[in-house]
Amino acid sequence: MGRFDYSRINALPFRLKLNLLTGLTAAIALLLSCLGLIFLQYYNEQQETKLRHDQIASVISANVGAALLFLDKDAADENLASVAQVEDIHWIQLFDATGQKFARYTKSEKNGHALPNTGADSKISSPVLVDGDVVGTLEMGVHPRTIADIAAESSITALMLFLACLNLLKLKVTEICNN
Amino acid sequence: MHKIILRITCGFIGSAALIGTPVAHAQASPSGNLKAAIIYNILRFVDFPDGNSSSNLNLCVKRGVASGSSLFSLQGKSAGPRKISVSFTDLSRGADNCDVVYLGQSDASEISRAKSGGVLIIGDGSGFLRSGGTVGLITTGKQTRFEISLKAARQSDVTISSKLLRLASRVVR
Repeated sequence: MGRFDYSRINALPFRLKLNLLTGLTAAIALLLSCLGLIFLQYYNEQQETKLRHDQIASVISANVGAALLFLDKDAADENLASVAQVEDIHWIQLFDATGQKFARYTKSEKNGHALPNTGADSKISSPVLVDGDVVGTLEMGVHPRTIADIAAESSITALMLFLACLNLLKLKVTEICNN
Repeated sequence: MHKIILRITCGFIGSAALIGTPVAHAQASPSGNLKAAIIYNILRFVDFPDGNSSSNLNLCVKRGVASGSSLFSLQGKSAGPRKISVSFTDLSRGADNCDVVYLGQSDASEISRAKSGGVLIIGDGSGFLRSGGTVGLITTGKQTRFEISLKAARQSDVTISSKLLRLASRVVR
């Protein structure tokens, strides 16, 4: 591979060079903004998702306490199944005070839907309290959106923006070359 | 209206674990321990009128009932902010100063006598609610279920948590 021939750039008209430089700067600025926005969205989503999951865990923990105390598995199962509509919760299980598994709900088993291959779930634990006494523990396997998911989601918009910029730049270069 | 029947399958081991401490009384029976565990758990989901943290929750047990000795294991346990104080009574002068009365198998006259001073009336048998009781414990084999009369609870100004109502085998409104 030969070295880049700078003489070809030097031969370009000054106006074209200036336009190319401006276009390149704008493209880099756009790219950095996009990356920044993606990271910001990821950070915000992480915060919001954590809060949402904590809230869900506390609500279910509060509701499942009585079922656990009275060893009512049907009622516990019913409570755990309430996460069926929450997309990013893959499984949820309830342990009694001795650490024995009392009930479990897994989406793929109950709904007949295979879960997407999203890698390892992170686990959220919440104590089940009745009158301030810990009577059990609730565990949830969650899979919040990764930075790759967000980037993939934003990629179409970013690609369209990039193509628009490229088209503008091309028009500008053609205009200068024709002059 | 038909209520979903939820079976409560508390075994002896489970009940002992729920009570939390070994039952010290010599005459405590497995079914008695189970009943004590269920009664204790029921009390945790009931709000009593004028219930403040400084006073004890007085659980009066009718003298001579089969599970009476097991219920004594609840002495000093916390139900919400209040500590349970167990006492035995013959109900001849009603149930003064009782927040909860456990009658075992009883008839309507006994229940109405208990109601004069007690608030939450717990007893055994399928006919207990019909006789005016608030919570009836029904034992079938090794299983013990409970029924709740919301009507009796309302009359006594007692609030029973919806979480408990969901688990009851029958709720009389």
